[in-house]
Amino acid sequence: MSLHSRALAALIAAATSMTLFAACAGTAPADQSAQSSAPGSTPSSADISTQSTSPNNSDSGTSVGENTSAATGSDTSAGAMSGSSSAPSSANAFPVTVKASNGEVTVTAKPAAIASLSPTATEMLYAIGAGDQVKVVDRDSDYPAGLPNARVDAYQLNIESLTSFRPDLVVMSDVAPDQESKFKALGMTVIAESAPTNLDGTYAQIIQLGEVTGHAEQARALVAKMKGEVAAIIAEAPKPGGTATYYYELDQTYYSVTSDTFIGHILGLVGLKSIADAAPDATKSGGYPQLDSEFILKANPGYVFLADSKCCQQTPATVGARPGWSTLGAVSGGRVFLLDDDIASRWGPRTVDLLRAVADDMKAHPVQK
Amino acid sequence: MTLGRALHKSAARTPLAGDAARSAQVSGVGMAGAAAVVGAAATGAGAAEESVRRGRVRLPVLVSAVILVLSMVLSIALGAVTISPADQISTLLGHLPLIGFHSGVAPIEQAIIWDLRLPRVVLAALVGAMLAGGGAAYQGVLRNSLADPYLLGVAAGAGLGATVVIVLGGAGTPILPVAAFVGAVAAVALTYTVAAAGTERAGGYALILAGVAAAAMLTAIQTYLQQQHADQMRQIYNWILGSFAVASWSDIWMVAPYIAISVVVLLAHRRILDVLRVGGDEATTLGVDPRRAGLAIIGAATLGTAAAVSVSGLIGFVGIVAPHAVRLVAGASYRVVLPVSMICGGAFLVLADLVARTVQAPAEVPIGVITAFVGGPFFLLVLRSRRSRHGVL
Repeated sequence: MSLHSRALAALIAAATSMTLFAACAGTAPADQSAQSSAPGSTPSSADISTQSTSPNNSDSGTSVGENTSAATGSDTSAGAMSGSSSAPSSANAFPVTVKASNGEVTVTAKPAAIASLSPTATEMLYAIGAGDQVKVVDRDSDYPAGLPNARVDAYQLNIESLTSFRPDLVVMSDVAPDQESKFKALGMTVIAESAPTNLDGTYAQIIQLGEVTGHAEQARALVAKMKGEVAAIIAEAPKPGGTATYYYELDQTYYSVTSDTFIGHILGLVGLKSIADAAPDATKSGGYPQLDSEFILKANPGYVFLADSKCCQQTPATVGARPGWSTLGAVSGGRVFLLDDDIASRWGPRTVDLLRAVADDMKAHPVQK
Repeated sequence: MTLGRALHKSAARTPLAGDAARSAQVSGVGMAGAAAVVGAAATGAGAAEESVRRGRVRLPVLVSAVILVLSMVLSIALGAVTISPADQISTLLGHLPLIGFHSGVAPIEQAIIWDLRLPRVVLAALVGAMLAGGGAAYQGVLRNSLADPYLLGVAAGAGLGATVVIVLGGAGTPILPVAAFVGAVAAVALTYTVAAAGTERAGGYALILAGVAAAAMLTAIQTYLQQQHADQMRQIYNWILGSFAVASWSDIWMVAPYIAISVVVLLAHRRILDVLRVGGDEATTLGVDPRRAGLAIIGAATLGTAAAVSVSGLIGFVGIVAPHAVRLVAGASYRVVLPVSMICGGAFLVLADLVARTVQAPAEVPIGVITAFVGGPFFLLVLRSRRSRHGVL
């Protein structure tokens, strides 16, 4: 007995000492953990929404010129004043510091070789005219046409392979602290732009990428164009009324999205609410709960959106053929719509196309009252 | 107490060990002394015979050490970026303390050698040595040739600890290896408790069965968490498959003390493992308390394995196959099997990591895939060519 308790005590002591060691030797674990909750979803989006809701809109959280410590409002105005000659169109003024998902990122000169390791970032970079600087992309990047042939795997990232392309700026959706320290050792700047929760987050990321790549002007123009298009789509969209609901299918095991997710926010712009909001683990799952067939049938959503058409060959016909699903109003009324899996899972400029497609579908197949 | 009986149920029935030997075994330090006593008793005093035996240990150790050094050199030399041997050597010299050598190598090349490749190679060698040594020790103490270092729940516990941290958003932080380590140690503690709780009659298999039960339980919790957080599934999966992609010097400093202690304790028990091989009764007659020896060996192997997997993820296959391959080539004595397994395990993992990062560049293949895919056929080859000479496992 005593032997056991002694063995256990020894193990516990070992575990404790390891914890202490990590606390001392690790580079400030507490800080990093606080930061690393960013990839989760809420904190990062909070970063972005803070920026987008602050008064100066596009320039908020961004300071151009020598003043690199800038994130606050007063600093921003100071930076704008000091660089007043070129402040409004400060596209090519480096160094520039932005507050991205991985904290403050300073880019000292216009990047000559960008590694874009996120399909969304690739779409954004090309849309703001930074495509010429992009030298290597991740395997999932497939839009627009004319991407470089140089590919790396963002999920099983081989950092040395990435180094062989000599990028000076690495754009990722999320970067782990241990990866970040490797990039730092190799003299590369990394900026993370993780999934936001609404279109304002998309706009803020486009502006940031414009600032750090030297295309701030084009980025602002793109955001203005997107905002105009979204407003037009919303204005012309049918007004389905307060109770219009949808079931959004991520895969055939009924993983779905709530109205609080990015895609939920987009669909909310045309007045739709997700049936998944009422799911028991709607918030616990981070907005991506798994539903079951009975739950969906009982909720009887007005619309069904299939974001698993490319991956899993789901169509209105296969959905109608599921046991019991023919009773759904969305099935009998022809309101089961296919979405492009890729566009629907990204948060780039083509989100506007997605919104337009949904609005058009709704117009063509209105819910019968 | 009941656990000791579960390990070697005969121990209590034949309390022949002398009081002196017993008191010497109370502390871990005493174990080394006991080992010397037993070693002398078991091998006889003949000096000539002793030197022959030493030769039988030295040659395999020397050969495997050469293999390890060669594989480390090869692994540092090769990678996605081609760096000239001269630049590599001057980079390494430049990082040696006290010499004050200033290499003229570009900073990025230096960083590739010093911050990317070298930590990977060193950590792979450490982890491989620990997994193989832990596997050999488990096989010896439990007298089960299918025992691997994950048998008592280390893998499941580490996996659960890592999953919890990743789910909470801590992927890639220094907290992750600590959580994995704590999970692994807690899992083995659970296994011990279950085995000790009510298995007076179950015999030596109680511990193994308890390990299977604990692992199944913890894996169930881990799978549930993973399924609840589908968005982080890929990060969890990547960790479980194992990788040295972001190995760093701080990882090495964090786990090296545990692995070093574990290796020293295990090596100090190599003669006792030989004695345990013949059975608990005989061991007791020779003055070894199989209960205490078993606890010390399992404790050391567990601690080291937990530290290893906490930074590498769950790399399979090394712990079970490296010791058997060594046995087939160099005989069954633990005085050979233990050190040679450690060295060969290190070399194997260093080479596996080299393959993992180069074969599919610019992507990385999970190292666990390489160890199983390459190790399986290799093991069959050794098995075929050696079975006739050495009999079965």
